Amino acid sequence: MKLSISQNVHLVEPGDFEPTDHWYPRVLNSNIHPLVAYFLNLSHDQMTERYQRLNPMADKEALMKILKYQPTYFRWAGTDLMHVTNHEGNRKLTVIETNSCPSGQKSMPLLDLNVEQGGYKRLIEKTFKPMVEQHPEKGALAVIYDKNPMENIGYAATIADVFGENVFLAKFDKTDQNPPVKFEEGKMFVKNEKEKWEEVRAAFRYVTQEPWNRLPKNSRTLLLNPIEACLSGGRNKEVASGAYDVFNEEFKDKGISIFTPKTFTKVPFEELRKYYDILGGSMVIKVPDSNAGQGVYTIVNEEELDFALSQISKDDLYLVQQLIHSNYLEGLDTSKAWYHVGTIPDSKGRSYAFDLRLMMHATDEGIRPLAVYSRRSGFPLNEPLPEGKNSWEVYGTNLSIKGEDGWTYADERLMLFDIRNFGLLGLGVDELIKGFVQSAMAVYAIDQNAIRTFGEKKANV
Amino acid sequence: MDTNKILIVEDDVVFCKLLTRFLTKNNFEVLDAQAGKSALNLIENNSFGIAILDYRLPDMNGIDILKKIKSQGSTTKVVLMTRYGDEGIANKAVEEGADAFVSKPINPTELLEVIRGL
Repeated sequence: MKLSISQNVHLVEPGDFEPTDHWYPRVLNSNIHPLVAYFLNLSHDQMTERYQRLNPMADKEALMKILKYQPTYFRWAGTDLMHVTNHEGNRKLTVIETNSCPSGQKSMPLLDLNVEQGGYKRLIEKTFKPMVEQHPEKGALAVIYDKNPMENIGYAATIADVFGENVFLAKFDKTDQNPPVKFEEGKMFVKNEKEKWEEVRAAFRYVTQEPWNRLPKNSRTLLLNPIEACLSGGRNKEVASGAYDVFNEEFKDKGISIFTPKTFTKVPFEELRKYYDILGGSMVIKVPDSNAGQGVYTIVNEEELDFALSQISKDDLYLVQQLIHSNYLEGLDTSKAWYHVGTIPDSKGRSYAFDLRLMMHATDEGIRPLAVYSRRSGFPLNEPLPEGKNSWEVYGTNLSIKGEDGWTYADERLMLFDIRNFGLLGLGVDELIKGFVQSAMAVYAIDQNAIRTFGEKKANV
Repeated sequence: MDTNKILIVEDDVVFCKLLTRFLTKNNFEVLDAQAGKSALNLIENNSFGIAILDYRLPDMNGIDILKKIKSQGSTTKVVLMTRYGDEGIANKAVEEGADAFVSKPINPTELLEVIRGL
């Protein structure tokens, strides 16, 4: 390792991987729950067969087509799902959002104790390496990032080990006026130790904050993922919603669909209040390209609506979603209302909303699950919200906290899929399969949207 | 003074994380700051054996912090980190009382030798 070879660039060398630096401390000491390990090892055939047992109308051939799909653009993805139920007790996993370049490795217990680099190695060996080997450009390897140093140092160290060469680890921040990364005619360059620009043949990309402002389309340097994945829905909830609609239309005769809360897109600021009324006095407003829990407003009363309207721009268009409710409420439309199933009540009877982050990657056999964890909300579903507390405390699950010295996270709300925590979620293998199929369908939908928008191209696979 | 206690002042979070890991493994206790103001707070409330300061910080430079440390009559040893081409700054740092300077890129093992030689 050579630190700071130029401003915000480090050179990571083979042998630099240190497990203690790439997992949260309590994950290092955790053991994966056997059901989760079982799920991660299920074949596509097993998952397809089981999904059809759970959803008898589902077409197995269509399901298999999706699980074995080779994405052109969107080869590494993470979905956030929620476990919901309706008034009849019909439980589902609903897709909240799908992100390109997701976090997750640092929260995932090792699947195989003998593979020290865990999911980092699976992603690099089974997804990134085959792509790089098919890519004819010259130059170095790099990891570019704007957040999450814990995982990105881990990826850089894994790439160095897997390829047997040094890897540039470069911060590519949206506010940096003089970044150490540039693109010329689609080729990426990174500043080396002599402050000279060095060309890069392939880069692992964890640039998440408005990445379209600095990554070019049709990049000559191979990027995992390329920006097209973000522009097609991988980092824009509005575009993703459109892609899901197209998917659901395409597969409507196959008994499968992407299930999301009822969604309204392109809602002008001045119409938000109308949607609040249409949805019965509650809703979620989302800034379409926001992430990390920023720009998402859960609204359960006029006061919260007024606050949200005071925080957002009057000139933008918004995505409005039906709120997944905490508890059964008289007066809700029973055919449309969904409720959080929540965690198993603790010894004090508290049950919390939680989400499920499922990271997937494209491999030679198709889309595979790679890492999974949950995050719970801060305040229970089944207690009255005290005066002055925002409903985000009940519904919001994001752990990221933006502090003065950068981003931190709320560790106490992270739910590992380990022996200690997984049982608290009340999930079984069937829910994991349902969640994975929903996630794979979302990846398929967004990748197909990218192909429709940017065209077929060689996927470098 | 705890001679094994080190302060790293560097605005690159990754740098801090990697160097902290390395020095901790070598039995040092490490605190870090990403800006001059937070560094001065740490200096006020702790007693460091060594301070490793980057020259370029978002709110002040490493020599400003060096001067502050030395003006308090502190015996904290100061190592200033400079970039490729910043030799003039290194000379100034020595004039202001820096105990050593190292040029980036930093090889952690070489830095460890510098620290142990102080």
